[in-house]
Amino acid sequence: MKHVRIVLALTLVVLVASLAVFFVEGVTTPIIDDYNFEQANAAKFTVLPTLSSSDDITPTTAYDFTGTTITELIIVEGKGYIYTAQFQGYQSQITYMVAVDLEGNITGYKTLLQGDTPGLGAEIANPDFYPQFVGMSTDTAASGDFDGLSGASVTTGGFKASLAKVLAFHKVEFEGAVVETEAQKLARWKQEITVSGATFTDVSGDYTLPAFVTAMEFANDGSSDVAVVYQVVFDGRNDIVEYWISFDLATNEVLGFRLLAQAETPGYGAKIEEEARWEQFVGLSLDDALNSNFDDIAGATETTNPWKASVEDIASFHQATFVGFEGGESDAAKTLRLIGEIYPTADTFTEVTRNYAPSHDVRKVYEIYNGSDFLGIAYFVESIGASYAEVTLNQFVVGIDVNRNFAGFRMFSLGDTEGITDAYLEATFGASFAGESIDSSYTIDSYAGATFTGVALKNAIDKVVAFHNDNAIGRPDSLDASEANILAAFPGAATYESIYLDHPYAGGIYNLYMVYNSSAEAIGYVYYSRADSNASVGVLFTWGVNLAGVSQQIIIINNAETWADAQEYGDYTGSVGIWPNTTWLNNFEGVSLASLIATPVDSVAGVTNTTSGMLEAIGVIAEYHIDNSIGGAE
Amino acid sequence: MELIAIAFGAIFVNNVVLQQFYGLCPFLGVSTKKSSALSMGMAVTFVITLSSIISYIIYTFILKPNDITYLSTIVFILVIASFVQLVEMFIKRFSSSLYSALGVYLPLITTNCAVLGVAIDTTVNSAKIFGGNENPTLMMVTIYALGISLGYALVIFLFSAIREEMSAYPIKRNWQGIPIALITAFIMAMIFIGFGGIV
Amino acid sequence: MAKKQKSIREIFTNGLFKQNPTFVQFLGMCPTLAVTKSVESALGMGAGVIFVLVMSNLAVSLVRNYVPREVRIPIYIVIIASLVTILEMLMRAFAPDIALLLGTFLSLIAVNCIILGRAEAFASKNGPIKSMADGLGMAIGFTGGITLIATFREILGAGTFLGMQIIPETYQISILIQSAGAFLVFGILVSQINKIRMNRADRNEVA
Repeated sequence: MKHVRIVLALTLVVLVASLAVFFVEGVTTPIIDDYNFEQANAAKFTVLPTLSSSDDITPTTAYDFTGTTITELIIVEGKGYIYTAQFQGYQSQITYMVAVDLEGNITGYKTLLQGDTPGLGAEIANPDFYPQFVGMSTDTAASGDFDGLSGASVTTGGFKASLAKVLAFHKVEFEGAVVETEAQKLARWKQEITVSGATFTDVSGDYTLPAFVTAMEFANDGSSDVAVVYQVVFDGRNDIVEYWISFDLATNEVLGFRLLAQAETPGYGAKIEEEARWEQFVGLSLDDALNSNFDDIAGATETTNPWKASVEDIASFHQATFVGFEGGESDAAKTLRLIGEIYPTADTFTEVTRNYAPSHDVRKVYEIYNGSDFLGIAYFVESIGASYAEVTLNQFVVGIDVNRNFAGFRMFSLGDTEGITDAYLEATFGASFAGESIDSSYTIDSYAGATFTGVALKNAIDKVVAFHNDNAIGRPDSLDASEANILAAFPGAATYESIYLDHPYAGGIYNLYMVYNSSAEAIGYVYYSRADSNASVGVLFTWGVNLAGVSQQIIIINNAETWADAQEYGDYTGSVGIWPNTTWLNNFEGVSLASLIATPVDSVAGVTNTTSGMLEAIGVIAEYHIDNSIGGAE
Repeated sequence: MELIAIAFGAIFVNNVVLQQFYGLCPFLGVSTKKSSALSMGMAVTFVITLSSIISYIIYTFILKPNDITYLSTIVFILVIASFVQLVEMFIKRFSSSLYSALGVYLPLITTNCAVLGVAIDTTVNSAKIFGGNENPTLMMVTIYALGISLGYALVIFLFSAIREEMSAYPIKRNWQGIPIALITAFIMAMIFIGFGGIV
Repeated sequence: MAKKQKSIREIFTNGLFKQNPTFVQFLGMCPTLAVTKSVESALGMGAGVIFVLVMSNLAVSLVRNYVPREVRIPIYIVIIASLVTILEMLMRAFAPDIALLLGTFLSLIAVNCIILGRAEAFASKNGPIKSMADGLGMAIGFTGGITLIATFREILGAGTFLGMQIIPETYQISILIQSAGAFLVFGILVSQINKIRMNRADRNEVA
């Protein structure tokens, strides 16, 4: 009974409530609808004062408004056009109404709906905002040349863009404006970034263009070539970005920038197509271009960074190509020339600075190749000089080759006191440490009267070596021995893994493996190395060393030596056998590496090329093993 | 990306308590201890997110197509009330530990403006918070509701931590309790205003 | 314990001062902070609350003897929600500017703790006339409270009162108009009112 009462009570209340609600709804909805309608219509009378209630205000359905932000257009016969448009403000959709008369002037404007921040974006609905539009020509309005909303840049920007689109539509449909074709736009752009009325000559064939320049044209003003336009591509975040950039041939300033194609993320990298961003390139000095001193796209580093690198590259190219005309060698060209002097056999320099964390002194890093042979690294270094009175900068190029020796040194410029420090500019200075290993305690010359400069340079060179080591630069890819050869060098080993990258690079040692037994316990190491020998290919071998620093087996992998029987060719007491099975190699098995260093094995007379080479390689490994405390070896 | 912007906006920029002013009664009432604030925050997250989803579904598939959106207020309230009742019964029966932690707060949440407010904001007034988009997707609504409730939990927890600290200090009699809490909230609100420039 | 029968007048003034919902009971906080940006919206909200509270107290009082205890809360909710929906529609039809101004908070009157609170605490136990008086008192007390806050915020924050510029724009303290400012003004006002009440209580004790 109780439950029935409950249900009854509930149902009754709900019924009564619903009835009341429905009743009120029936009464109020028509009123609400009327009100909304009136609101919208009242605006029409406000923006087009010549409108009268007898005019037909049915919106037209004859046009496609896609991309114009127009939501409705009413063509009032003989009087004008009423546009309703909607755009995204800072935090709400903003709807407005603007009317244009038959002479191409705006007759009125009103904001209909907005939900933006009071005092900021919401000011677009402040009636004080409206009067400026009355009588404004559509050209002025479309160009955005009117007061926006102070402090509300997003809303203002969106509004001006929307208005421009609405009026552009208007001009095309009703004022017979001709829409510019893509080709016309591009032609216009080319003129804008060079000189009005310019004619263009394609000179792509006259220059060796780097891969990132797809076209190059001179702009002629009627009497001479005054500017050069490069068409440049770079890899943006999503896809290739293409643009034009022009330089003045006399001042080498940037004249302009135009984006041609991009597929970056809208709202982020895609902002590169905002024409407002291109303004900053007009009059940009070559120096600024070389250092990409222009604004980032906030929040779009994956587009901004390659964009900046690209501008730096084209500026470099321009500098290398044209600034040289003036009679001076460009910095870029000089750097490359000096590197060429340090690595005479090199034919390719690849700048890889971007791959490494920035350092105060190391400004540029180049990988040097002859064909596909990796020769070493060249650094362009800028360091603080030793002058008492002021901060000076010394710049030099230093090379570290693949064997971790100094390949050479060339002073680029010395900021310290002229006259006294001239000795450092001579080739003898660089020669004083060229060829020395960077792992050794190398010394450099220091000249009397300018010893502080010498100290400063030594410090700088030390920093380069540290940079080289810290970034594990210039390591050719480690080579791999076969599994059979690795496991054979260490009896009892079942599995292995390369650990070479965890340790410094040593020339001659191709790889370093840690080996494990069948229970996956680490039992020792295997070196894969090459020794100089009688044959030009050298001797490739693997050599096992256990955790106590005692060698295991040595496995000779190749056999290109020309001597076969040690006894035939050499005075080899106590050994028998043909290379590579000679028992001379037993000297390297089952002995501690430390003892090999302490009491070196003798080479075999008559076969010194091979045996000395082997001994040197063994020595390198033994010292490497101990110096780097591999496995805790002391 | 848009979803992240919605979430960030919901948690920080348009923070439910400090900016939109929803959920103030429990904010001022249940924030004297960190533990109860945390429980309240969790309960709120749960209720707001789920009831927003349910309200959205009902609005999109029942109310809107039949043009009876003016019944939203009533329908949502009944949905929320029943839902909370169901949840409370469920928790009470199956987890007494959870009930002792959360259960007491659930009825309070029924009349929490935040729950009804978020339900209405994501449906009837959706144009206002989704930048003019009158038809948000279920994913957008869910992310927004989650963001709102996380913002709520965050703020109520911070607030309770501050109040717990403050309880050790002597305060003038007429400022004790609600007034000093309000001033604290004022300072917190000002800090959150700073988030407005980020999104 | 004998309950002292209160007169209609006493019931009415109770809601105005002694048990003022805004400054004493601290009910209905959400609208208190949200709609006090301008005096106009505060008055609009107040009017709405007066309507709903009086009508709901009346309705609850009329059905109080017929509603089973177990379902009383859902029934109150249905009554209040329906009244709020009616209010929404009436406002949108006859005062659309205010309806827009209040926004979601118009609908949120349905969960305003004051209304459900009075339904449960008073209207379910008293006759219709008394209930209406209680509702009117509480609602006017609420309206007065939020209007007071709004007055401070609008005059000091925007220099206007009901839209009319009183103080020149340069003297505005704009933080008061923003959300954060609501907390500040409300907090200060409560502390001062507390002081008055405490002084009065002290004096009563001494006397």
